[in-house]
Parts: sequence; C-alpha cells; structure tokens
Amino acid sequence: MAGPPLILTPPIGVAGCEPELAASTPIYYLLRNKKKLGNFIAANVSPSTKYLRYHVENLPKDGLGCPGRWLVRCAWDHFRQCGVSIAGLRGEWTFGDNLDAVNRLTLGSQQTIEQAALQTWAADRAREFGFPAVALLVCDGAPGQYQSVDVLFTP
Amino acid sequence: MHVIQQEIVTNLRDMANCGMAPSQMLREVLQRYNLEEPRSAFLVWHWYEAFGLDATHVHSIFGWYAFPLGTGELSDAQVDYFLGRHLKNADWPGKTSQAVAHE
Repeated sequence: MAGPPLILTPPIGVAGCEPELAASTPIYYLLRNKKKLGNFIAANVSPSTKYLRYHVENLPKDGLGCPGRWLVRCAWDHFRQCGVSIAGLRGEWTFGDNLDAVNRLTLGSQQTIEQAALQTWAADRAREFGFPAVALLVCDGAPGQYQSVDVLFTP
Repeated sequence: MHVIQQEIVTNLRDMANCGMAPSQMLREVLQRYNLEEPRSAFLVWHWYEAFGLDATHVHSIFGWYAFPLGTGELSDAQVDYFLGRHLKNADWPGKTSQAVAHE
C-alpha cells in the first residue's frame, strides 16, 4: 500500500517549478506545475504487465519549469512507494520527440528501429532506472516515416 | 487531489457503445465537463478507467489535444485510428456489438 505522499522538492537551481499532485493512485499518477500550464507528467502502470508508461511535457521549451527527467523520477518513486514492482518501460510513440528521433535515425534505413530507440530521450530515462535493453513490439509505417512505434525497455 | 468522475466514465462507454468516433467522444467530454488542466491528462485518465489500463496508444490523446481543438499534432483521423483500433479489441462492462465498428 501507499505510504505517506512523497515530498516533492524541485531540483536546485530550477526556475518556475511549483509541483502539485493532481492524481495519485497505485495505477495513475499526475503531477503538474502550478506555474506552467504545459508542464506535467501523467503516468500509469498496467496491473497485468507491470509496465510503466508515461507522458511528460514541458512546453513551451523555454528552459523554465519542472525538468522532464525530474518528473519521471517523481512518477517512478510514487509507484515504487505504492509497492509496485515495475517490470519494464513502455514507449508507445505516436507523436513527439521520441518518434521524431526514431524517424530521423531510421530515414533511408540508416539504423534499425531498435538502434534508433536506444538513442531517444526515453531510452536515457530507461537506462537511468535499470532498463537498458529494448525490444520492438509493433510499428506502423516505413523507415523515416513511422506513424507509431511501440517499444519495451527491459533490464 | 482529484478523483475519477464516474459520470464521465459512463458517458465514454455509452458513446463507444453507439459507435461514436473517439475524437468525437473526446470533444463531447470536453464540452460537457469543465475538466481541470492539464485537460489532456484528465481525458487520458478517464479513458483508461472506461476502457482498461492495457489500452494502447491512449497517449495519442496528448498529441491530439490542443487549444483550440483541431490544432494538435495529431488529427481527428489519426486519433480515431489509434484509439479506434484499441476499442475494437477492448472489453468493458456493457459493451455492445455496435462498439465493435470502431477503426
């Protein structure tokens, strides 16, 4: 069961970050920034697979607000405190920076999806939590023009 | 701290049961309810609650939602494709045969 709410102390030296917990259950977590509308993390863990999925935003990209990396850490800590044993990190990319990176790196079949996925921002977070390996689950589209890419980061 | 609004969950299921397109379902919820910001995250939370946590591509809602509606990175057609594909296979209490028409 969940313990007392984690104390959310923004990283030192960060401007414009005032975190506020908006939803906190053993399966869904939403942390938003009271000072910036487009800055939040929404995360969930599937009870059946124990895979963590998250969406993090910090828009506009003006250098202000709660850093994405810190927001992911908050979500991770939350689920761990709830007693959830996370088995992997899912990446279900249908838009955004991670999909853009995969498309840029696979253009002209320079790299495989797996190689490209390992160079995304999400892969950096996955390594941080001990999930350095990646497996492609499913994708839609062709190299450089994928509409969706589903990957799983595992230990 | 916020909690799930069961009325929204019921409405989402009802709309899916009528075969309504996911983008239209999302628009209806946004029109009927004064969701807090970030509204996309509250939409996603209720979608999971209505149709199950193993739903895939629900995060496409984040790419679709933008104010004003229709200016997001993903179009209605794209979000209909991603969410409709899941709805076709998902199961929820009271699912009707009409709901299978998605995708």
